[in-house]
Amino acid sequence: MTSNRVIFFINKGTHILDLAGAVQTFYESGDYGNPFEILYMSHKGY
Amino acid sequence: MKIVPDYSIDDAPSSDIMAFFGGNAGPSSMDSSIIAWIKGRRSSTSYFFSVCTGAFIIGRAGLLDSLTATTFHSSIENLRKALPNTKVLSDVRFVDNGKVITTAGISAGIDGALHLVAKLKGDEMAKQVAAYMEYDKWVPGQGLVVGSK
Repeated sequence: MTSNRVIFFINKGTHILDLAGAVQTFYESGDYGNPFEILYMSHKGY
Repeated sequence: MKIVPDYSIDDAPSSDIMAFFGGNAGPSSMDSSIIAWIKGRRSSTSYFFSVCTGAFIIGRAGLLDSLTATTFHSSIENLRKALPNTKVLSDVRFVDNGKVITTAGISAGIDGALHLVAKLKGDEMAKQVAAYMEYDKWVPGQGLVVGSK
């Protein structure tokens, strides 16, 4: 399997740098090859 | 700041990597529907990744049983209590068990993500990404890859 789709699970109150550092890293790697597909999910109430 | 997610546990597609984060991770880690959903994704997901106290969420789903992990520095003892079958390390930026990668707090998520990029796409690409992000303090060896020397 090519590991290209990443889902980021967001809590209500997720620290922005917890999320943003990882998102930015995966996103920028797309400039050097096959990009990751980045999706975000959460759960109702969170 | 409000973030509008693309999906919920009712309609999220399958993914190769699932990532979980800290900052109020407690309610998610104690929500039985979220934990059941993660368990259901275990076999179809190639990599589980947590930053900070996101480890509590995947830990409650059993993904850290008998493995080594880390978390936010102030939550090390709490994770040890929550996951008695997990070896929880302090003073490490990330721990890679193969399929499950946990990182220390907040900025350590960058190190863990760079490690995962290196693992999937090669060390050279990860170095290029770190340079582009001007993250020149990155030291790849500050993480533990379980089973490697």
